[in-house]
Amino acid sequence: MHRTLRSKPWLSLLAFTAPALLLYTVFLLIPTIGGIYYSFTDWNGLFRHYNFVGFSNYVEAFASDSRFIYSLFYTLKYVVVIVVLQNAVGLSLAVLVESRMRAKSLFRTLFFMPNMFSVYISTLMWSFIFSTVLPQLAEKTILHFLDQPWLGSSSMAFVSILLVSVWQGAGYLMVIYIAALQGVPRDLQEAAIIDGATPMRKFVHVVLPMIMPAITVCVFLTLNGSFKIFEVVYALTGGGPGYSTEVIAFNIYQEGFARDLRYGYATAKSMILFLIILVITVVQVSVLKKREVEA
Amino acid sequence: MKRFEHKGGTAVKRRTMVLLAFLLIAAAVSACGSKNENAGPSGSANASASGSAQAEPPKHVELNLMLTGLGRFKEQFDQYLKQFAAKEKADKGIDVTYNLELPSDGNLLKTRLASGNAPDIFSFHAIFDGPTFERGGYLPDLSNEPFVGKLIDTIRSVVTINGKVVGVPMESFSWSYLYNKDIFDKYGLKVPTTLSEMKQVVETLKKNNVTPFMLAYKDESFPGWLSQLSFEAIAAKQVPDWWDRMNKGEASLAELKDKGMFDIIDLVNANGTKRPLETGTEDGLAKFANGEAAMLVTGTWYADSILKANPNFKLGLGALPVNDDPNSTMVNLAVSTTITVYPDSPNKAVAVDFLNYLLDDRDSSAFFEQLKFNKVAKNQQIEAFPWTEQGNQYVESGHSYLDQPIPQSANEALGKMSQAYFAGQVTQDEMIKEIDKAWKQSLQVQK
Repeated sequence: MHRTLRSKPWLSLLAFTAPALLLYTVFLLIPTIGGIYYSFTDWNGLFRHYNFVGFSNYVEAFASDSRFIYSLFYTLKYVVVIVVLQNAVGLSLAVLVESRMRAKSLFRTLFFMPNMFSVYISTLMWSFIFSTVLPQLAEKTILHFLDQPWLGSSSMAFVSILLVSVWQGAGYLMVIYIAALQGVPRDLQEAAIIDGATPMRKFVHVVLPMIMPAITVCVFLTLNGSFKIFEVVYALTGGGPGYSTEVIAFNIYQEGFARDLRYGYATAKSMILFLIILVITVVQVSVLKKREVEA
Repeated sequence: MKRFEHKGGTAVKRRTMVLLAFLLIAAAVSACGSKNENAGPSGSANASASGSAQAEPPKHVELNLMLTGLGRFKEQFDQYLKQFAAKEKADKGIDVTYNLELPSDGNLLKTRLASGNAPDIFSFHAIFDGPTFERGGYLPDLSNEPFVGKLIDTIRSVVTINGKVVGVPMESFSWSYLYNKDIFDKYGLKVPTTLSEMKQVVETLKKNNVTPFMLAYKDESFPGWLSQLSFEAIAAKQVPDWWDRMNKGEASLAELKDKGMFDIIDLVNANGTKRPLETGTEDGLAKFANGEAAMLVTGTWYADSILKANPNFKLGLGALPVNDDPNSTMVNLAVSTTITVYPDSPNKAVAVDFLNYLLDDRDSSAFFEQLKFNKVAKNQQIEAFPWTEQGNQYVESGHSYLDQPIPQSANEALGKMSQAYFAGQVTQDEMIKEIDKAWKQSLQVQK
């Protein structure tokens, strides 16, 4: 009798989460496990027969795939810069919007709008801007510094990708930071001002610790998302010129669908990506969680 | 109290663990089991096919067709299939209905082939997909079918893999570069037959402030085609055994580089439009159609798009010269879309009838004209476009070579490295090394 009393809450929990759990299992969990299985084979997505090759896909990815290693480091470079840049821009925009007396929601909407467009479509729009609008502007006005090979050289292509990514993502982070800023108690801020703190010190020592949970979430989102960047590269540069802007997701896509159709090998590489993201985000969340402060 | 809680907790934990374990095992079994399942459906298809061959021919047949990337021809295929159904009814008394799928993504066909649920009739790219599909056992042997005798010899060899004819060629091209006839006429230019003549054409154009070449290098296929045309022409005339040795892993592009592969490549790259790495395909075609450059190194498959952008455009086809020997100035003869039947289809007899009907003596010419395809068979009378006529002249005078399949990775490397070479990121030797490496890797994977 006591046992059924205890098991009932468990059953009702399961009943509520069952639909979501079912969808998650069928569309995410089982394909992932299937993927893990295929990563140990040399299937090419087309033939009926394939061989079990064990860990050789994983070994090959690190030992003899120089382009994979290049795209790993290139993506890492991109991730480091974008995490810092996007969060800095998002936070500055949040502070600016919060500091306004009037028209707060107008600016909030304006800055959030880039995030509402489909990534692929807005990147195509940027592609047009980089190839046609900016060179014309550079020619016809005094803004000569705009005359760069925006998508033509690997170094400028990196800048272009950063530009488009920050433009798209900063609005989303800004909204989270605005919510967090609104949660900082006024009396603490006023106490700091009365005690003679400059705005800079007030921001660093009072506001920042209070919004740490938001920073944890935002850095986690940016880390997680930026490792998987694909559409911006696909639409803007196509991995070019040459292979210079090939990020990991693009490398995996080409391996599985374009080059020799090596589904098994590409799945192994995506498992490696999954493990890398897992390790980094777990470390990041646990480190930042320790710095959170309760009001 | 403590003892009671502890008991309940363990029971819940055990149940959760059992459920999770069951889910994982089920998933693992389903993933492993799929390999063996594939034998099932194809086995049953085989049984019904052999069964139907022994029994009476079926009275009612439903054909499943999957023609990737041919969505723009839906009406034409619908009409032709209806004509075929009428013919089958009249000749053999079989009622034919059909289910026509026109997906734009090639992966759909691959999934259906791999899972054993293949369509009766499907289309594929003779050069890109042909070798792979053949290795997977997905292509039939149609060498004894009536349509084979009607095919033009050179075109037949493109759809012959391992000595057997594997499908009906539909789209064929002789291609090299396109040029603007109006610009050429305005400055009295003739289509160059040697590299020196090409240099003179370039000089004349530059003197009159016309950009000689349209470069649309954002899509790596374009720089890849330039390199491909150059080295294939050199291999065809000067190193005839290069392809065999390369596909055994015993040759290198360096041999072709020594014979002057980069001469025409450098000429084109140095005399082109500005900012090519930022000009995409659509952009490049539209600008070429509006007269911003005189020549564009690409295939005649874009003729439609160019004419849509500028219906008054006078399109010409020229063969790219690679050196001063006029016999090396050739066009590339290629076949892309090929239609074939699935070897284990239960409706193979009727499907093969349709393949033969595609080159029917009476109706085929009208059909190919509607599709704006070039003729592939001797019995076809198709009004050719002016640029197709020029292509045919090159072929008939012996100035052509057959397109050979390049392994997918090597093809991608060719395009990407040509892009990087143009951007100054790699030297000629580095570019060749990368392509050689990708080629060898592809050969490894195919073993």
